[in-house]
Amino acid sequence: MASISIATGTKRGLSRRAGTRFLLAIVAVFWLAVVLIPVAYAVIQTFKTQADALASSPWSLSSPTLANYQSVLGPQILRYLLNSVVTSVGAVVLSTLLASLAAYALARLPHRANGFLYLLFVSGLAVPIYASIIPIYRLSIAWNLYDTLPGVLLPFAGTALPISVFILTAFMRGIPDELEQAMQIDGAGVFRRYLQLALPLSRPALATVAVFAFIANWNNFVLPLVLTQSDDTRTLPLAIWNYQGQYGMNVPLVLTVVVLSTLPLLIFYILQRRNFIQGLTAGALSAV
Amino acid sequence: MAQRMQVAPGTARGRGMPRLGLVLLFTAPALVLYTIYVLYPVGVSMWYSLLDWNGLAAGKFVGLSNWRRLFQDQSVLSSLRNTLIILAASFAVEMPVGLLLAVLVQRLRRLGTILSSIYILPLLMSSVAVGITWSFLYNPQYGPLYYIYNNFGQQAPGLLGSPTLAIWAVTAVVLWQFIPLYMLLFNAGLVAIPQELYEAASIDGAGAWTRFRSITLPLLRRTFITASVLVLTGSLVYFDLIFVMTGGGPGNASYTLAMYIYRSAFQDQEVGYGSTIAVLLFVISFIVSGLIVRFSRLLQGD
Repeated sequence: MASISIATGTKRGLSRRAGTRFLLAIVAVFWLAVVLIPVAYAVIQTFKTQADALASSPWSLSSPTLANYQSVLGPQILRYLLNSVVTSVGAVVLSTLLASLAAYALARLPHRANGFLYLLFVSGLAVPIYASIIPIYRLSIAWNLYDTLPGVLLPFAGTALPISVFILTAFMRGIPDELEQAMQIDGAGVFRRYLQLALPLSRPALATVAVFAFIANWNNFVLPLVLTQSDDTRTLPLAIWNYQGQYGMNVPLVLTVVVLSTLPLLIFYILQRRNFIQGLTAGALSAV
Repeated sequence: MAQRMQVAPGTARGRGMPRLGLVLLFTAPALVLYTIYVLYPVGVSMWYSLLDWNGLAAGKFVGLSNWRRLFQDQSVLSSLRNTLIILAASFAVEMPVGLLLAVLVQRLRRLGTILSSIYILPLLMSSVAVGITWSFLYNPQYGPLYYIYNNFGQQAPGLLGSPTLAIWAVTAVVLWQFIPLYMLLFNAGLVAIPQELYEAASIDGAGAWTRFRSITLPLLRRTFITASVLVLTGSLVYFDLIFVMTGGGPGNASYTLAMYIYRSAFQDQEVGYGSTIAVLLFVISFIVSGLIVRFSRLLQGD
């Protein structure tokens, strides 16, 4: 970036650059405020009592308390957290595994039927989850999966398949033929080539697909909303909504749940910044 | 697997098991799950859309009467209008602001990295969390709006309760939540532009704006297409945020098709009619996707 200034070393160039910098700084600070004011509001309220929150300005914090965290943090919220982890992670493992198998065949085992199968999977990208929610609900009742964790996990996995197959197939097509032929000459069967060649070489794509599906599942609201009803099967997004329904006027308590429920993804983001952003944008980047 | 030895390895077709058998063996598990949760629902919804059915008793075949009702339904019109509002706002605001922030973050280098980590915060929250936070922010009785207006001795407007303003209030939150995603997309596009191009242009005396217009914008064409696709497909399926903020109300003022499907099938017990709206949503989504595939090929010139 520094090299750009080479040709603009004149006085006019400098003042213009300073002007641009000043403008950028204003935008930077403005957007910082846009993002942080609602977040700060939420966080500040969590340290107030309900009476304090109603009586004082949203920005003052005269007598901070941890009471909200103490009353929210308990076996109940751990249960919701566990439900979210089990359904989201379980679904990611399942969909990524199945998609990698399918992608291997579609990308590396040429057959006339592949074109059709690929199109079949990819056309699923055009099916919004809301268009299929009624039949999924009915299936769930018919198969005794209603209000169970597998009943949430399975549709999580099923609906993640189109995009997973799409990304993984594209990636596996790029594996050099020579590598596979070499293994084949050494007598490696097709399953060994999948396990020992295609899977390890596809690690970046597998990570992208897994992160994307995980975030989508973790934040998914409509499937647990429609497919569960009891407290024991509630996932975090549903729990937030439920807290609001139950303690709607207790702003600090509800916002404490909001803040706590956001922590897992925040930690994930801090630890795995690169993978996280890749996964987050994967859905968009693969859509073309 | 025992048959593998029968065919010489390396022949064009079979390497052991018949090739079709292998392909099916690998794809079958995914295909089964995919069929159950994606293909079958679309197919059976078309059948449900021909029924008068409360979901409990046996459905009654009513032909196209659900469809006739759909085309005269004010709530469907209102849902489509709201979708268009969100769509237009996304194009007009999300993409330009996303690009601006991406340029900003890239030019500020080290500081930009820190800024982008903060800018991305809304993307880490679930839509439910975002929606609930903002419904408190908007609340005219105890939210920050109340205090701002109170300072001037005024009463805060009940944005979410207003038939005309509710959809705009919700749209503003949509923008707040998703602008960072477009920042990330454009950032990925900017990083891919070779620095030498800018250096060469500078030596030729091109100013910042000229460089932006003649290098950055054209080379971001692919990213623009990607972002447009995301805006188009994303706008069709707003649910969580609106569900927790307004529930679609007041009246049907902030409905989307997704919400209307939910309400018909799960609250009004009109499974047949809900399925009709679901098929409509699917058809719109399918047409939009088809157009996208066509146009993106045209625009990319391959």
